[in-house]
Amino acid sequence: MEEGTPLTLSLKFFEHKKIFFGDFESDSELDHNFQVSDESVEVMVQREGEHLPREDYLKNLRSGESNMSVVRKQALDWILKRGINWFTQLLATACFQIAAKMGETKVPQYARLHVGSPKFIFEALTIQRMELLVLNTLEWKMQAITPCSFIGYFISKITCEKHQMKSSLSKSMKLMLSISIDFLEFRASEIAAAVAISVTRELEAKEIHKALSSLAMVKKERVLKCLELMKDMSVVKVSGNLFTNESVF
Amino acid sequence: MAEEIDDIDYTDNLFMRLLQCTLCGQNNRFNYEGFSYKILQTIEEGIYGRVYRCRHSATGDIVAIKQIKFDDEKIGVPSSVVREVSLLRALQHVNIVSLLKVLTKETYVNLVFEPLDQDLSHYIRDNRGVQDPSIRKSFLRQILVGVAYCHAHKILHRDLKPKNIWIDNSRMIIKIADFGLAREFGGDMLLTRYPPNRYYRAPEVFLHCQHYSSGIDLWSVGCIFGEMVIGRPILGDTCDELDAIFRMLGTPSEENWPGITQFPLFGSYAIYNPMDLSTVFSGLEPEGLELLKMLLCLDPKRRISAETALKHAYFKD
Repeated sequence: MEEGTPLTLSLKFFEHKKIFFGDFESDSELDHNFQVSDESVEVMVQREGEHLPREDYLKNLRSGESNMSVVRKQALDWILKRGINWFTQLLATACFQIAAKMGETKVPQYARLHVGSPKFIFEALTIQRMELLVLNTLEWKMQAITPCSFIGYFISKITCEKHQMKSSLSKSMKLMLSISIDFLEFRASEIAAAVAISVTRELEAKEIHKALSSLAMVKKERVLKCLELMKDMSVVKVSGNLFTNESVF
Repeated sequence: MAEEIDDIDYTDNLFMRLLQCTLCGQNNRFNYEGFSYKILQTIEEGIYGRVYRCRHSATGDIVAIKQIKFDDEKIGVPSSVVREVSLLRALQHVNIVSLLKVLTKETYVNLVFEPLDQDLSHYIRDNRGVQDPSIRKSFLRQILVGVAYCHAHKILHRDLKPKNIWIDNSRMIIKIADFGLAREFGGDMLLTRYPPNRYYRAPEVFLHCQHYSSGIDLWSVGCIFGEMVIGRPILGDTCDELDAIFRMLGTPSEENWPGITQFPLFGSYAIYNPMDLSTVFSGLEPEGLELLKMLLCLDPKRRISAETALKHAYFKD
Protein backbone atom coordinates (compact mmCIF):
# COMPACT_ATOMS: atom_id res chain seq x y z
CA MET A 1 0.00 0.00 0.00
CA GLU A 2 1.29 3.35 -1.02
CA GLU A 3 0.81 5.17 2.23
CA GLY A 4 1.88 2.25 4.35
CA THR A 5 4.55 3.83 6.43
CA PRO A 6 2.88 6.77 8.15
CA LEU A 7 -0.30 4.73 8.39
CA THR A 8 1.31 2.25 10.68
CA LEU A 9 2.68 5.04 12.76
CA SER A 10 -0.77 6.47 13.22
CA LEU A 11 -2.15 3.02 13.99
CA LYS A 12 0.32 2.88 16.79
CA PHE A 13 -1.17 6.12 18.07
CA PHE A 14 -4.69 4.80 17.80
CA GLU A 15 -3.65 1.91 19.96
CA HIS A 16 -1.83 4.04 22.47
CA LYS A 17 -4.46 6.72 22.82
CA LYS A 18 -6.55 4.59 25.13
CA ILE A 19 -3.81 4.78 27.71
CA PHE A 20 -3.27 8.48 27.25
CA PHE A 21 -6.87 9.45 27.60
CA GLY A 22 -7.45 7.34 30.64
CA ASP A 23 -11.04 7.65 31.75
CA PHE A 24 -12.41 9.15 28.56
CA GLU A 25 -15.27 7.64 26.67
CA SER A 26 -13.40 5.00 24.72
CA ASP A 27 -12.70 2.99 27.85
CA SER A 28 -16.33 2.35 28.49
CA GLU A 29 -16.82 1.74 24.80
CA LEU A 30 -14.40 -1.14 25.11
CA ASP A 31 -16.29 -2.56 28.07
CA HIS A 32 -19.34 -2.77 25.92
CA ASN A 33 -17.95 -4.08 22.70
CA PHE A 34 -18.91 -7.65 23.46
CA GLN A 35 -22.25 -7.30 21.72
CA VAL A 36 -21.02 -6.75 18.17
CA SER A 37 -22.81 -8.85 15.56
CA ASP A 38 -21.23 -11.62 13.48
CA GLU A 39 -21.94 -9.67 10.28
CA SER A 40 -20.11 -6.57 11.40
CA VAL A 41 -17.04 -8.59 12.38
CA GLU A 42 -17.06 -10.23 8.95
CA VAL A 43 -17.18 -6.78 7.39
CA MET A 44 -14.21 -5.72 9.51
CA VAL A 45 -12.22 -8.80 8.50
CA GLN A 46 -12.84 -7.86 4.86
CA ARG A 47 -11.80 -4.26 5.46
CA GLU A 48 -8.75 -4.77 7.65
CA GLY A 49 -6.55 -5.41 4.60
CA GLU A 50 -6.91 -1.73 3.68
CA HIS A 51 -5.18 -0.80 6.90
CA LEU A 52 -2.13 -3.03 6.53
CA PRO A 53 1.28 -1.43 6.07
CA ARG A 54 3.15 -1.64 2.79
CA GLU A 55 4.84 -5.02 2.23
CA ASP A 56 8.39 -3.77 2.65
CA TYR A 57 7.55 -1.77 5.77
CA LEU A 58 8.58 -4.41 8.28
CA LYS A 59 11.83 -5.11 6.45
CA ASN A 60 12.72 -1.42 6.35
CA LEU A 61 11.81 -1.00 9.96
CA ARG A 62 14.02 -3.91 11.01
CA SER A 63 16.98 -2.84 8.94
CA GLY A 64 16.64 0.69 10.27
CA GLU A 65 17.47 2.01 6.82
CA SER A 66 14.40 4.02 5.97
CA ASN A 67 13.58 7.49 7.23
CA MET A 68 10.42 6.06 8.61
CA SER A 69 12.01 3.82 11.20
CA VAL A 70 13.84 6.83 12.56
CA VAL A 71 10.69 8.94 12.60
CA ARG A 72 8.74 6.16 14.23
CA LYS A 73 11.31 5.72 16.96
CA GLN A 74 11.41 9.44 17.61
CA ALA A 75 7.62 9.66 17.75
CA LEU A 76 7.62 6.97 20.39
CA ASP A 77 10.30 8.94 22.20
CA TRP A 78 7.92 11.89 22.24
CA ILE A 79 5.18 9.74 23.72
CA LEU A 80 7.62 8.50 26.31
CA LYS A 81 8.84 12.07 26.92
CA ARG A 82 12.34 11.70 25.60
CA GLY A 83 14.17 14.26 23.49
CA ILE A 84 13.32 14.49 19.79
CA ASN A 85 13.55 16.79 16.78
CA TRP A 86 10.92 19.35 15.84
CA PHE A 87 9.65 17.55 12.77
CA THR A 88 8.82 14.38 14.59
CA GLN A 89 7.24 16.19 17.50
CA LEU A 90 5.02 18.04 15.04
CA LEU A 91 4.07 14.84 13.24
CA ALA A 92 3.39 13.02 16.47
CA THR A 93 1.30 15.93 17.77
CA ALA A 94 -0.82 15.91 14.62
CA CYS A 95 -1.33 12.12 14.73
CA PHE A 96 -2.29 12.35 18.37
CA GLN A 97 -4.78 15.11 17.65
CA ILE A 98 -6.38 13.16 14.78
CA ALA A 99 -6.70 10.04 16.91
CA ALA A 100 -8.46 12.08 19.60
CA LYS A 101 -10.85 13.57 17.05
CA MET A 102 -11.86 10.14 15.82
CA GLY A 103 -12.22 8.40 19.12
CA GLU A 104 -12.90 10.85 21.91
CA THR A 105 -15.70 13.18 22.84
CA LYS A 106 -13.38 15.79 24.27
CA VAL A 107 -10.58 16.84 21.95
CA PRO A 108 -7.67 18.54 23.70
CA GLN A 109 -6.93 22.09 22.57
CA TYR A 110 -3.56 22.50 20.90
CA ALA A 111 -2.31 24.47 23.88
CA ARG A 112 -2.86 21.50 26.18
CA LEU A 113 -0.46 19.41 24.12
CA HIS A 114 2.27 21.76 25.26
CA VAL A 115 1.90 20.79 28.89
CA GLY A 116 4.99 19.18 30.42
CA SER A 117 7.50 21.60 28.84
CA PRO A 118 8.08 19.99 25.46
CA LYS A 119 11.13 20.94 23.46
CA PHE A 120 9.22 22.84 20.76
CA ILE A 121 6.09 24.97 20.88
CA PHE A 122 4.12 25.07 17.64
CA GLU A 123 1.66 27.62 16.40
CA ALA A 124 -1.89 26.33 16.02
CA LEU A 125 -1.83 26.84 12.27
CA THR A 126 1.35 24.77 11.95
CA ILE A 127 -0.22 21.83 13.75
CA GLN A 128 -3.35 22.20 11.64
CA ARG A 129 -1.25 22.09 8.46
CA MET A 130 0.42 18.91 9.62
CA GLU A 131 -2.94 17.39 10.50
CA LEU A 132 -4.18 18.07 6.97
CA LEU A 133 -1.03 16.60 5.51
CA VAL A 134 -1.38 13.39 7.52
CA LEU A 135 -5.09 13.15 6.68
CA ASN A 136 -4.46 13.63 2.98
CA THR A 137 -1.52 11.26 2.86
CA LEU A 138 -3.62 8.55 4.47
CA GLU A 139 -6.51 9.52 2.17
CA TRP A 140 -8.61 10.27 5.25
CA LYS A 141 -9.01 6.58 6.02
CA MET A 142 -9.01 7.15 9.75
CA GLN A 143 -11.43 4.49 10.78
CA ALA A 144 -8.56 2.14 11.51
CA ILE A 145 -9.13 -1.51 12.24
CA THR A 146 -6.80 -2.67 14.98
CA PRO A 147 -6.74 -5.74 17.23
CA CYS A 148 -8.84 -3.64 19.65
CA SER A 149 -11.69 -3.72 17.11
CA PHE A 150 -12.01 -7.49 17.42
CA ILE A 151 -10.88 -8.39 20.89
CA GLY A 152 -14.19 -8.01 22.75
CA TYR A 153 -16.07 -10.05 20.18
CA PHE A 154 -13.49 -12.86 20.16
CA ILE A 155 -13.38 -13.08 23.95
CA SER A 156 -17.17 -13.31 24.09
CA LYS A 157 -17.06 -16.14 21.53
CA ILE A 158 -14.61 -18.15 23.61
CA THR A 159 -15.99 -17.57 27.06
CA CYS A 160 -19.50 -17.00 28.31
CA GLU A 161 -18.87 -15.92 31.88
CA LYS A 162 -19.37 -12.21 32.25
CA HIS A 163 -16.88 -11.63 35.07
CA GLN A 164 -14.22 -13.54 33.19
CA MET A 165 -14.80 -11.38 30.12
CA LYS A 166 -13.94 -8.20 31.96
CA SER A 167 -10.68 -9.46 33.40
CA SER A 168 -9.77 -11.11 30.09
CA LEU A 169 -10.34 -7.83 28.32
CA SER A 170 -7.97 -5.86 30.52
CA LYS A 171 -5.37 -8.63 30.30
CA SER A 172 -5.72 -8.53 26.51
CA MET A 173 -5.20 -4.78 26.37
CA LYS A 174 -1.94 -5.11 28.29
CA LEU A 175 -0.83 -7.97 26.07
CA MET A 176 -1.70 -6.18 22.81
CA LEU A 177 0.22 -3.10 23.84
CA SER A 178 3.26 -5.14 24.81
CA ILE A 179 3.79 -6.84 21.46
CA SER A 180 6.49 -5.58 19.13
CA ILE A 181 6.88 -4.78 15.44
CA ASP A 182 7.54 -8.45 14.75
CA PHE A 183 3.79 -8.96 14.79
CA LEU A 184 3.27 -6.59 11.86
CA GLU A 185 3.14 -9.52 9.49
CA PHE A 186 -0.18 -10.53 11.03
CA ARG A 187 -3.58 -9.04 10.39
CA ALA A 188 -5.38 -7.27 13.21
CA SER A 189 -7.94 -10.07 13.51
CA GLU A 190 -5.22 -12.72 13.72
CA ILE A 191 -3.44 -10.90 16.54
CA ALA A 192 -6.72 -10.35 18.35
CA ALA A 193 -7.66 -14.03 18.05
CA ALA A 194 -4.27 -15.16 19.37
CA VAL A 195 -4.48 -12.71 22.26
CA ALA A 196 -8.07 -13.71 23.07
CA ILE A 197 -7.10 -17.38 23.16
CA SER A 198 -4.02 -16.81 25.26
CA VAL A 199 -5.87 -14.86 27.96
CA THR A 200 -8.93 -17.05 28.19
CA ARG A 201 -7.57 -20.56 27.78
CA GLU A 202 -5.14 -22.78 29.52
CA LEU A 203 -2.57 -22.83 26.78
CA GLU A 204 -2.65 -26.45 25.86
CA ALA A 205 -2.95 -27.59 22.27
CA LYS A 206 -6.30 -29.28 22.81
CA GLU A 207 -7.86 -26.24 24.46
CA ILE A 208 -6.47 -23.92 21.82
CA HIS A 209 -7.95 -25.93 18.97
CA LYS A 210 -11.28 -25.98 20.75
CA ALA A 211 -11.22 -22.20 21.05
CA LEU A 212 -10.16 -21.77 17.43
CA SER A 213 -13.15 -23.73 16.20
CA SER A 214 -15.41 -21.01 17.61
CA LEU A 215 -13.59 -18.25 15.70
CA ALA A 216 -14.67 -19.14 12.19
CA MET A 217 -13.61 -16.00 10.34
CA VAL A 218 -9.86 -16.14 11.03
CA LYS A 219 -7.39 -18.54 9.47
CA LYS A 220 -6.42 -21.13 12.06
CA GLU A 221 -2.87 -21.63 10.79
CA ARG A 222 -2.20 -17.89 11.00
CA VAL A 223 -3.51 -17.62 14.55
CA LEU A 224 -1.38 -20.61 15.59
CA LYS A 225 1.62 -19.01 13.93
CA CYS A 226 0.94 -15.79 15.82
CA LEU A 227 0.62 -17.74 19.07
CA GLU A 228 3.93 -19.47 18.32
CA LEU A 229 5.59 -16.10 17.83
CA MET A 230 4.10 -14.82 21.07
CA LYS A 231 5.52 -17.90 22.74
CA ASP A 232 8.94 -17.42 21.12
CA MET A 233 9.02 -13.80 22.23
CA SER A 234 8.05 -14.96 25.72
CA VAL A 235 4.96 -12.76 25.62
CA VAL A 236 2.89 -15.75 26.70
CA LYS A 237 3.71 -19.16 28.09
CA VAL A 238 2.51 -22.04 25.97
CA SER A 239 2.85 -25.61 27.06
CA GLY A 240 4.00 -28.05 24.38
CA ASN A 241 4.01 -27.69 20.62
CA LEU A 242 0.94 -26.05 19.16
CA PHE A 243 1.14 -27.95 15.91
CA THR A 244 1.05 -31.44 17.42
CA ASN A 245 -2.70 -31.63 17.16
CA GLU A 246 -2.95 -31.26 13.36
CA SER A 247 -5.70 -33.86 13.06
CA VAL A 248 -8.18 -31.34 14.46
CA PHE A 249 -8.24 -29.37 11.18
CA MET B 1 -20.48 34.82 -3.13
CA ALA B 2 -17.49 33.30 -4.86
CA GLU B 3 -18.26 32.27 -8.40
CA GLU B 4 -15.86 29.40 -8.54
CA ILE B 5 -14.28 26.76 -6.37
CA ASP B 6 -10.86 25.73 -7.60
CA ASP B 7 -9.88 22.14 -7.96
CA ILE B 8 -6.46 22.36 -6.34
CA ASP B 9 -5.67 20.83 -3.03
CA TYR B 10 -3.94 23.03 -0.51
CA THR B 11 -1.47 20.29 0.37
CA ASP B 12 -0.20 20.38 -3.19
CA ASN B 13 1.92 23.45 -2.46
CA LEU B 14 5.67 23.32 -2.35
CA PHE B 15 6.15 23.32 1.42
CA MET B 16 3.72 20.49 1.86
CA ARG B 17 5.30 18.54 -0.97
CA LEU B 18 8.71 18.87 0.64
CA LEU B 19 7.32 17.68 3.96
CA GLN B 20 5.67 14.77 2.27
CA CYS B 21 8.81 13.78 0.41
CA THR B 22 10.70 13.75 3.68
CA LEU B 23 7.99 11.66 5.24
CA CYS B 24 7.26 9.14 2.53
CA GLY B 25 10.19 9.32 0.17
CA GLN B 26 7.88 9.63 -2.79
CA ASN B 27 6.79 12.30 -5.16
CA ASN B 28 4.45 10.91 -7.72
CA ARG B 29 1.01 11.54 -6.38
CA PHE B 30 0.57 15.11 -7.40
CA ASN B 31 -1.07 16.36 -10.48
CA TYR B 32 -2.20 19.90 -10.84
CA GLU B 33 -5.50 19.69 -12.59
CA GLY B 34 -5.87 23.43 -12.57
CA PHE B 35 -9.57 23.19 -13.25
CA SER B 36 -12.35 24.65 -11.27
CA TYR B 37 -15.96 24.08 -10.34
CA LYS B 38 -18.45 26.71 -11.42
CA ILE B 39 -21.01 27.39 -8.72
CA LEU B 40 -24.51 27.01 -10.15
CA GLN B 41 -26.56 27.37 -7.02
CA THR B 42 -26.32 27.48 -3.23
CA ILE B 43 -28.30 24.46 -2.06
CA GLU B 44 -28.03 24.96 1.66
CA GLU B 45 -26.54 27.27 4.24
CA GLY B 46 -25.76 26.02 7.70
CA ILE B 47 -23.66 27.09 10.66
CA TYR B 48 -20.79 24.91 9.44
CA GLY B 49 -20.70 26.47 5.95
CA ARG B 50 -22.51 26.05 2.64
CA VAL B 51 -23.49 23.38 0.15
CA TYR B 52 -23.19 24.36 -3.51
CA ARG B 53 -24.32 22.75 -6.70
CA CYS B 54 -21.39 23.02 -9.13
CA ARG B 55 -20.23 22.04 -12.57
CA HIS B 56 -16.66 20.94 -13.27
CA SER B 57 -15.17 23.25 -15.89
CA ALA B 58 -13.42 20.52 -17.85
CA THR B 59 -15.61 17.43 -17.55
CA GLY B 60 -18.97 19.16 -17.18
CA ASP B 61 -19.80 16.83 -14.27
CA ILE B 62 -22.37 18.14 -11.83
CA VAL B 63 -21.41 17.73 -8.18
CA ALA B 64 -22.46 18.99 -4.77
CA ILE B 65 -19.72 20.70 -2.78
CA LYS B 66 -19.97 21.08 0.96
CA GLN B 67 -17.64 23.77 2.21
CA ILE B 68 -16.75 23.51 5.88
CA LYS B 69 -14.82 26.26 7.67
CA PHE B 70 -12.33 25.53 10.42
CA ASP B 71 -13.54 28.16 12.84
CA ASP B 72 -11.78 27.18 16.05
CA GLU B 73 -8.07 27.62 15.57
CA LYS B 74 -7.36 26.11 18.99
CA ILE B 75 -8.71 22.79 17.76
CA GLY B 76 -7.79 22.88 14.06
CA VAL B 77 -9.60 20.55 11.68
CA PRO B 78 -13.03 19.98 13.32
CA SER B 79 -13.57 16.45 14.58
CA SER B 80 -16.90 16.33 12.70
CA VAL B 81 -14.97 16.71 9.43
CA VAL B 82 -12.38 14.08 10.36
CA ARG B 83 -15.15 11.67 11.28
CA GLU B 84 -17.49 12.42 8.39
CA VAL B 85 -14.77 12.00 5.79
CA SER B 86 -13.20 8.89 7.28
CA LEU B 87 -16.57 7.22 7.86
CA LEU B 88 -17.72 8.01 4.32
CA ARG B 89 -14.45 6.52 3.08
CA ALA B 90 -15.45 3.26 4.70
CA LEU B 91 -19.09 3.35 3.56
CA GLN B 92 -19.84 2.68 -0.08
CA HIS B 93 -23.47 1.99 -0.76
CA VAL B 94 -26.12 3.12 -3.21
CA ASN B 95 -28.24 4.57 -0.39
CA ILE B 96 -25.39 6.50 1.18
CA VAL B 97 -24.16 9.68 -0.44
CA SER B 98 -20.82 9.06 -2.12
CA LEU B 99 -17.89 11.30 -1.41
CA LEU B 100 -15.91 11.82 -4.61
CA LYS B 101 -13.06 14.00 -3.47
CA VAL B 102 -11.70 16.02 -0.58
CA LEU B 103 -10.05 19.35 -1.35
CA THR B 104 -8.32 20.80 1.68
CA LYS B 105 -7.56 24.49 1.96
CA GLU B 106 -5.75 26.33 4.70
CA THR B 107 -8.85 27.28 6.69
CA TYR B 108 -11.62 25.21 5.17
CA VAL B 109 -12.28 21.98 3.35
CA ASN B 110 -14.37 21.27 0.25
CA LEU B 111 -16.10 17.92 0.27
CA VAL B 112 -17.09 17.00 -3.27
CA PHE B 113 -20.16 14.75 -3.35
CA GLU B 114 -22.22 13.14 -6.07
CA PRO B 115 -24.98 15.55 -7.14
CA LEU B 116 -27.93 15.84 -4.78
CA ASP B 117 -31.24 17.17 -6.07
CA GLN B 118 -33.46 17.71 -3.11
CA ASP B 119 -33.69 16.71 0.51
CA LEU B 120 -36.60 14.80 1.97
CA SER B 121 -37.74 17.76 4.09
CA HIS B 122 -38.27 19.83 0.95
CA TYR B 123 -40.02 16.95 -0.73
CA ILE B 124 -42.33 16.50 2.27
CA ARG B 125 -43.06 20.25 2.43
CA ASP B 126 -43.78 20.57 -1.31
CA ASN B 127 -45.92 17.44 -1.50
CA ARG B 128 -47.51 17.57 1.96
CA GLY B 129 -45.81 14.29 2.92
CA VAL B 130 -45.10 11.35 0.67
CA GLN B 131 -48.67 10.57 -0.31
CA ASP B 132 -48.10 7.87 -2.92
CA PRO B 133 -48.01 4.63 -0.86
CA SER B 134 -45.57 2.88 -3.19
CA ILE B 135 -43.09 5.80 -3.21
CA ARG B 136 -43.41 6.07 0.57
CA LYS B 137 -42.68 2.37 0.94
CA SER B 138 -39.75 2.61 -1.44
CA PHE B 139 -38.29 5.60 0.45
CA LEU B 140 -38.61 3.85 3.82
CA ARG B 141 -37.11 0.64 2.46
CA GLN B 142 -34.12 2.52 1.03
CA ILE B 143 -33.59 4.44 4.27
CA LEU B 144 -33.64 1.17 6.23
CA VAL B 145 -31.25 -0.51 3.77
CA GLY B 146 -28.80 2.40 4.22
CA VAL B 147 -29.14 2.36 8.01
CA ALA B 148 -28.72 -1.44 8.14
CA TYR B 149 -25.54 -1.05 6.10
CA CYS B 150 -24.17 1.58 8.51
CA HIS B 151 -25.01 -0.56 11.52
CA ALA B 152 -23.33 -3.61 9.98
CA HIS B 153 -20.24 -1.42 9.71
CA LYS B 154 -20.58 -0.51 13.39
CA ILE B 155 -21.45 3.08 12.53
CA LEU B 156 -24.25 5.04 14.17
CA HIS B 157 -25.54 7.98 12.17
CA ARG B 158 -27.01 9.74 15.24
CA ASP B 159 -28.59 12.59 13.29
CA LEU B 160 -31.13 11.05 10.92
CA LYS B 161 -33.78 13.57 9.87
CA PRO B 162 -35.48 14.51 6.59
CA LYS B 163 -32.93 17.29 6.03
CA ASN B 164 -30.10 14.75 6.02
CA ILE B 165 -31.81 12.40 3.59
CA TRP B 166 -31.43 13.32 -0.06
CA ILE B 167 -33.34 12.22 -3.11
CA ASP B 168 -31.94 11.58 -6.57
CA ASN B 169 -35.06 12.83 -8.36
CA SER B 170 -34.54 11.16 -11.71
CA ARG B 171 -34.24 7.66 -10.27
CA MET B 172 -36.04 8.27 -6.95
CA ILE B 173 -33.05 6.95 -5.05
CA ILE B 174 -32.54 7.82 -1.40
CA LYS B 175 -29.10 8.94 -0.24
CA ILE B 176 -28.34 9.23 3.45
CA ALA B 177 -25.98 12.15 4.04
CA ASP B 178 -24.38 14.27 6.75
CA PHE B 179 -22.26 11.94 8.83
CA GLY B 180 -20.79 14.80 10.87
CA LEU B 181 -22.19 13.39 14.10
CA ALA B 182 -21.83 9.76 13.18
CA ARG B 183 -19.40 7.55 14.97
CA GLU B 184 -18.19 4.05 15.48
CA PHE B 185 -19.86 2.04 18.17
CA GLY B 186 -19.24 -1.21 19.93
CA GLY B 187 -22.54 -2.73 20.96
CA ASP B 188 -23.62 0.29 22.93
CA MET B 189 -21.74 3.20 24.37
CA LEU B 190 -21.66 5.97 26.86
CA LEU B 191 -23.74 8.96 25.96
CA THR B 192 -21.93 12.23 26.32
CA ARG B 193 -23.19 14.65 23.72
CA TYR B 194 -26.73 14.79 22.48
CA PRO B 195 -27.48 14.89 18.81
CA PRO B 196 -28.85 18.41 18.30
CA ASN B 197 -32.17 17.74 16.65
CA ARG B 198 -34.88 17.19 19.23
CA TYR B 199 -37.74 16.15 16.93
CA TYR B 200 -36.05 12.88 15.97
CA ARG B 201 -34.36 12.14 19.27
CA ALA B 202 -35.12 8.81 20.96
CA PRO B 203 -36.79 8.72 24.41
CA GLU B 204 -33.80 6.99 26.05
CA VAL B 205 -31.66 9.96 25.00
CA PHE B 206 -34.08 12.42 26.64
CA LEU B 207 -33.94 10.31 29.80
CA HIS B 208 -30.14 10.64 29.89
CA CYS B 209 -29.75 6.90 29.45
CA GLN B 210 -26.11 6.01 30.13
CA HIS B 211 -25.67 3.87 27.06
CA TYR B 212 -27.27 4.16 23.70
CA SER B 213 -27.01 2.04 20.63
CA SER B 214 -28.31 1.50 17.12
CA GLY B 215 -31.86 1.92 18.48
CA ILE B 216 -31.55 5.71 18.38
CA ASP B 217 -31.25 5.61 14.58
CA LEU B 218 -34.30 3.35 14.27
CA TRP B 219 -36.33 5.72 16.42
CA SER B 220 -35.41 8.55 14.05
CA VAL B 221 -36.43 6.38 11.08
CA GLY B 222 -39.81 5.85 12.78
CA CYS B 223 -40.23 9.62 13.17
CA ILE B 224 -39.33 10.15 9.50
CA PHE B 225 -41.75 7.41 8.41
CA GLY B 226 -44.56 9.06 10.40
CA GLU B 227 -43.66 12.44 8.94
CA MET B 228 -43.88 11.04 5.40
CA VAL B 229 -47.45 9.93 6.24
CA ILE B 230 -48.80 13.09 7.89
CA GLY B 231 -46.62 15.67 6.16
CA ARG B 232 -45.19 17.33 9.29
CA PRO B 233 -42.99 16.27 12.24
CA ILE B 234 -44.98 13.75 14.25
CA LEU B 235 -44.42 15.49 17.59
CA GLY B 236 -45.57 18.89 16.29
CA ASP B 237 -44.66 22.08 18.09
CA THR B 238 -43.79 21.38 21.68
CA CYS B 239 -41.35 22.57 24.29
CA ASP B 240 -41.16 19.16 25.95
CA GLU B 241 -40.63 16.46 23.34
CA LEU B 242 -40.58 13.59 25.84
CA ASP B 243 -43.98 14.68 27.16
CA ALA B 244 -45.24 14.77 23.57
CA ILE B 245 -43.84 11.27 22.94
CA PHE B 246 -45.61 9.89 26.02
CA ARG B 247 -48.86 11.67 25.03
CA MET B 248 -48.79 9.90 21.70
CA LEU B 249 -47.50 6.46 22.68
CA GLY B 250 -48.56 6.31 26.33
CA THR B 251 -46.33 6.76 29.36
CA PRO B 252 -44.20 3.62 29.69
CA SER B 253 -44.23 1.41 32.78
CA GLU B 254 -41.98 -1.33 34.15
CA GLU B 255 -44.15 -3.71 32.14
CA ASN B 256 -43.38 -2.43 28.66
CA TRP B 257 -40.00 -0.86 29.50
CA PRO B 258 -38.23 -2.75 32.31
CA GLY B 259 -35.97 -0.38 34.22
CA ILE B 260 -37.81 2.80 33.20
CA THR B 261 -38.56 3.81 36.81
CA GLN B 262 -34.82 3.86 37.54
CA PHE B 263 -34.35 7.05 35.50
CA PRO B 264 -34.47 10.03 37.87
CA LEU B 265 -36.11 12.21 35.22
CA PHE B 266 -38.93 9.78 34.57
CA GLY B 267 -40.82 10.53 37.79
CA SER B 268 -41.73 14.03 36.69
CA TYR B 269 -43.89 12.88 33.76
CA ALA B 270 -47.65 12.48 33.80
CA ILE B 271 -49.27 9.13 33.05
CA TYR B 272 -50.90 9.13 29.61
CA ASN B 273 -52.79 6.43 27.76
CA PRO B 274 -51.57 5.71 24.25
CA MET B 275 -53.43 7.40 21.40
CA ASP B 276 -55.06 5.39 18.66
CA LEU B 277 -52.27 5.55 16.09
CA SER B 278 -54.53 4.34 13.27
CA THR B 279 -56.38 7.68 13.48
CA VAL B 280 -53.17 9.74 13.90
CA PHE B 281 -51.63 8.07 10.84
CA SER B 282 -54.90 7.43 9.04
CA GLY B 283 -53.41 7.30 5.54
CA LEU B 284 -51.18 4.34 6.36
CA GLU B 285 -51.78 0.68 5.46
CA PRO B 286 -52.22 -1.73 8.44
CA GLU B 287 -48.82 -3.44 7.87
CA GLY B 288 -47.17 -0.03 7.67
CA LEU B 289 -48.80 1.00 10.92
CA GLU B 290 -47.55 -2.16 12.59
CA LEU B 291 -44.00 -1.49 11.43
CA LEU B 292 -44.26 2.15 12.54
CA LYS B 293 -45.23 0.99 16.04
CA MET B 294 -42.21 -1.35 16.12
CA LEU B 295 -39.90 1.52 15.11
CA LEU B 296 -41.47 3.85 17.67
CA CYS B 297 -41.15 1.27 20.44
CA LEU B 298 -40.31 3.19 23.62
CA ASP B 299 -38.00 0.54 25.11
CA PRO B 300 -34.78 0.64 23.03
CA LYS B 301 -34.10 -3.03 23.80
CA ARG B 302 -37.38 -4.10 22.18
CA ARG B 303 -37.21 -1.67 19.26
CA ILE B 304 -36.93 -3.40 15.88
CA SER B 305 -33.51 -3.47 14.17
CA ALA B 306 -33.00 -2.21 10.61
CA GLU B 307 -32.21 -5.73 9.44
CA THR B 308 -35.43 -7.17 10.94
CA ALA B 309 -37.54 -4.21 9.80
CA LEU B 310 -36.62 -4.97 6.18
CA LYS B 311 -38.14 -8.45 6.58
CA HIS B 312 -41.45 -7.01 7.81
CA ALA B 313 -44.71 -7.86 6.01
CA TYR B 314 -44.99 -4.20 4.89
CA PHE B 315 -42.22 -4.88 2.37
CA LYS B 316 -43.58 -8.22 1.14
CA ASP B 317 -44.86 -7.00 -2.23
